Amino acid sequence: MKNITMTALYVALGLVAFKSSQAVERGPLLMSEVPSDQVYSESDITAIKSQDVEAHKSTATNSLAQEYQLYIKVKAMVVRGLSDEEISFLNQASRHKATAFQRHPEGPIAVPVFDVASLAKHKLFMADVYHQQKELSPLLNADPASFARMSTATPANTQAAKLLLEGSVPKADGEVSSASISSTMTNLLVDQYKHIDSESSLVLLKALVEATHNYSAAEALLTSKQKSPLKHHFLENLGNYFSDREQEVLLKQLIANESELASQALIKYGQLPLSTLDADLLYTKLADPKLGASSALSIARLFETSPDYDRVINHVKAHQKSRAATANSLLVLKLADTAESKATLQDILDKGYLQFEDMKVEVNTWLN
Amino acid sequence: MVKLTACIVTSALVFMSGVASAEVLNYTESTNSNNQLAIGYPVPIPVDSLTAVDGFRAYDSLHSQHQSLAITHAEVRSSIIGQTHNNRDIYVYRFGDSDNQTNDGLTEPAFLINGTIHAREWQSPEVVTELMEQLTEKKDDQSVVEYLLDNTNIIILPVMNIDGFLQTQRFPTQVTQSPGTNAGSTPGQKFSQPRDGRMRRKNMPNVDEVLSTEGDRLRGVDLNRNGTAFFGVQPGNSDPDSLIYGGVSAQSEPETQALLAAAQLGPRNRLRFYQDTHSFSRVLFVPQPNNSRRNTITNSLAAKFQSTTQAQGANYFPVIDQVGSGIPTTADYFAFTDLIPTWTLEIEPPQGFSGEPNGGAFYGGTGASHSGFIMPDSEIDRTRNQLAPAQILMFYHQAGPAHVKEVRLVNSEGNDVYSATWSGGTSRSLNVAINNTLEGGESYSLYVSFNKPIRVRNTAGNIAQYTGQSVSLSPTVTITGNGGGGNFTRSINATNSSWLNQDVDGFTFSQYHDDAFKVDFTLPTDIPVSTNTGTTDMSINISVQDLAGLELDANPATAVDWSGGAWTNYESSSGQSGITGGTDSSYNIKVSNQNLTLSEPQSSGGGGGSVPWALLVLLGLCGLRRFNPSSH
Repeated sequence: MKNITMTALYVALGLVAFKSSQAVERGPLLMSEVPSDQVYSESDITAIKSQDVEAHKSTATNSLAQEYQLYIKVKAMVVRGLSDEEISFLNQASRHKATAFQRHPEGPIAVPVFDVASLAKHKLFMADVYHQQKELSPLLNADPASFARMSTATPANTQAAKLLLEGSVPKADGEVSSASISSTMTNLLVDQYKHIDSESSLVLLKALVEATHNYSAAEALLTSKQKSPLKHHFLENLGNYFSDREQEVLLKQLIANESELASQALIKYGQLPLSTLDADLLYTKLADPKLGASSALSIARLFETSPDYDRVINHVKAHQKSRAATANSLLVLKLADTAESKATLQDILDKGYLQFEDMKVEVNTWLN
Repeated sequence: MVKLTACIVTSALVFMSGVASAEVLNYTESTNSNNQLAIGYPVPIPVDSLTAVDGFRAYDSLHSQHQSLAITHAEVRSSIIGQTHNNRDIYVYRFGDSDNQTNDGLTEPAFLINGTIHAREWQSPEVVTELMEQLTEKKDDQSVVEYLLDNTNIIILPVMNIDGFLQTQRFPTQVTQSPGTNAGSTPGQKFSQPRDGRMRRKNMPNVDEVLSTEGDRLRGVDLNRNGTAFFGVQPGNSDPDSLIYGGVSAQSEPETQALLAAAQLGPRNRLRFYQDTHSFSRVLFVPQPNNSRRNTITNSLAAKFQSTTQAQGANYFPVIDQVGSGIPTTADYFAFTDLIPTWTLEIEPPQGFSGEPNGGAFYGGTGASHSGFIMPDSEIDRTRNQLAPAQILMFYHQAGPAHVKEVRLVNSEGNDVYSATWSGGTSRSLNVAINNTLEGGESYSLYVSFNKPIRVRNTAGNIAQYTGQSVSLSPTVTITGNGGGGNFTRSINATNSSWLNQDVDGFTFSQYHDDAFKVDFTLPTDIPVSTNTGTTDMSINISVQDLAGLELDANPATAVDWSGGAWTNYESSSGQSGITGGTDSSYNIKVSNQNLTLSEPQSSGGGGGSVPWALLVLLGLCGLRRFNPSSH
């Protein structure tokens, strides 16, 4: 029975994947192309959603009510342990074509009210995720190499492994939560994922570091050659996982590497306690054509607690021939946006420290 | 007693504040519950980074980046054009040189790009900022961008609804329950029409920044319904609680007033293009005022925009409005008031396309209601880069059609035998410095330069189409005339390798790469003349399509401009002013009849190949012998 169910699930997922890859040549459905009895107003939609779902079963007389009923049915399906019939139903629903539309608020195109097909596809995907979770769970502590390999094999496997590592899934027989991952196993997994170095491995490194606060996992994630939004998300919350000193080391490394994270790292660096950060690093970076503006924002934020306008003036005076250093020093004062910073800008203008005519024009605009 | 006191204090606080709490809901990647909705991928959060990331930057970072561009680059100037309801400065940025004049001495045309009018549409400020970044990164490209900065005024307002945008970024994963729902409502009902937090659309008058405040979450004006054109025409426009409430009067909001102030920087009467940048749907909504020439140009422009995106794997489909109808959007406002090409760009994900999942489901998400406003972080970098070239092409197109600046003919000894340049502002004159007699059968080089870059090159350095366009890459040059032996047309074989981006035999581009071509040719002798003495006047006729497919202004003597919804002084080959342009035949040369063909009139013929050429010469000689009067 289990095999039949999983076969049905895989067939369903295959059909879904094929369906999603079809190219589209024509434009969106126009309001003029939709039968008038399939177009609904906002109030129609609000009314249908505010009714008791049970009420629709007997009064689903129009396409809006029918679609809502179907949508609710798909949404209510519990993806763990789906039967063949339920998979077949979801598979059918994943090919559903909308019959209830509303007008796009900005123009004359018809927008489906409910996306039954996409929800059904996602249910099928999540069913696969939970199935893979059962397969992966025993490997987590027993065979990290196999776990690492399997967990990056498919999107469903990755999602399953991520849920396991995050420990976000309630424990059940045979399941493992993150709390049970030993540091030895964690380090083995980090090594495996570093070696694989794919988008999937980054997902899992992030899950590992969030679950265990493992420094090596964080380092592997942030210094990976793969570009990924996950790195930015993680860096945004770095303080949740590491001490100021550990953050300082990681951030300096990212700044020095000049990776795609460098601007973000510079801004994060400026948020470290004054006792930890090295302000010289921020001032040195002001001359950097690519990262100087990030450094300027970082220093401007530092000025909220410990302004040092003289240092900016001295920086301008010392780098009068450098466009980048001058522009970013001025930017510090602009972004600080205080009475003192404005006075300092005026001072720089008045005393002739500014050599670039276009910058004088812009600074005058700021001051007026 | 303690409990009673606490109860009294709590009741008093609630009573004093008069504020009830709305239920706060959360978007999640994969968890559904009574107050959580899974969208199927990680929910983006704002990232503090000035440089573009795989994701969405925080407003403070975007603003700092904009300011950085303005102080770093002489070609960028910032201006404050107003304040939001919550007193935040609204900035606009002008891209271009500071003289407001084209290289020809004309007043520059202007383009206005508006971003982030709706708070929750995070794609918008990213796409607009990418455009700003590319305009500075490519400012020295000696090609399209440098041309635009020299000759146009590009005005970009990256974040108009700052208060609202900040509110969405303050609560990147949270919203409040839909109107009319309560704790007992189903999750589907609660998430049906979320209005504050991540899903705020309107501005923030009399709205605090606390998400759970029940009393103010429906407040605000839809800034894209606050225009004078069609003000109040939609049922919801006059309902203050509506998502599309238009305000108490047209242009009542400080943010929409700021947009008008931005347009004034054009100045207003120089505007030739307006784009309001939204998400989502992956379409262009293209207004159609009652002006057929304007609509023809606009719809053609929209098709070119679409082609540029299609070539990069997207398909921004133009949805053409009904002529004369509209709603109070800013795109309708500028279309109907200024009669310029305008549209509402709805950035992806798609919506309403048959066979393509809607909203977040396009990226494999659950298709949850409103998920299209939550584009996955991983998609925005691609999107930014797909849309920048399309927008730059729009500027290039609306900068105006090309015209010839200079024509030279140089003989095989390197001496100019013809040299003419156009000079002047709105009225130009052709200054012919040299006009010596040419000889049939002699080799010459023809050099022609234009006022804008006509071609771009691919990474291999070869002439290529601008992304997604399909124009004639080669110039077309003919020589026409009538030497008494009938009208004739001879082609000069120019190819796409005739364009110049470097010095070739002493000829090079004029101001921008590939704004000039040079072609070597042998002046045909098979030109019918009625006598072998004296000279024959001939015209050099030049035809090219620019990057966007615009034909030349056939008569450079009157400078092209824009007025009343269309080009003015844009002459066709026959000299008629219109919207299509044509072949410029302004260049008259003299050719000695000595080597030409004394023959019966011919109406046309081909040039180019050497073998047919020789055959024609032989035939001509035969004819000359047969009909030579002295032989009888």
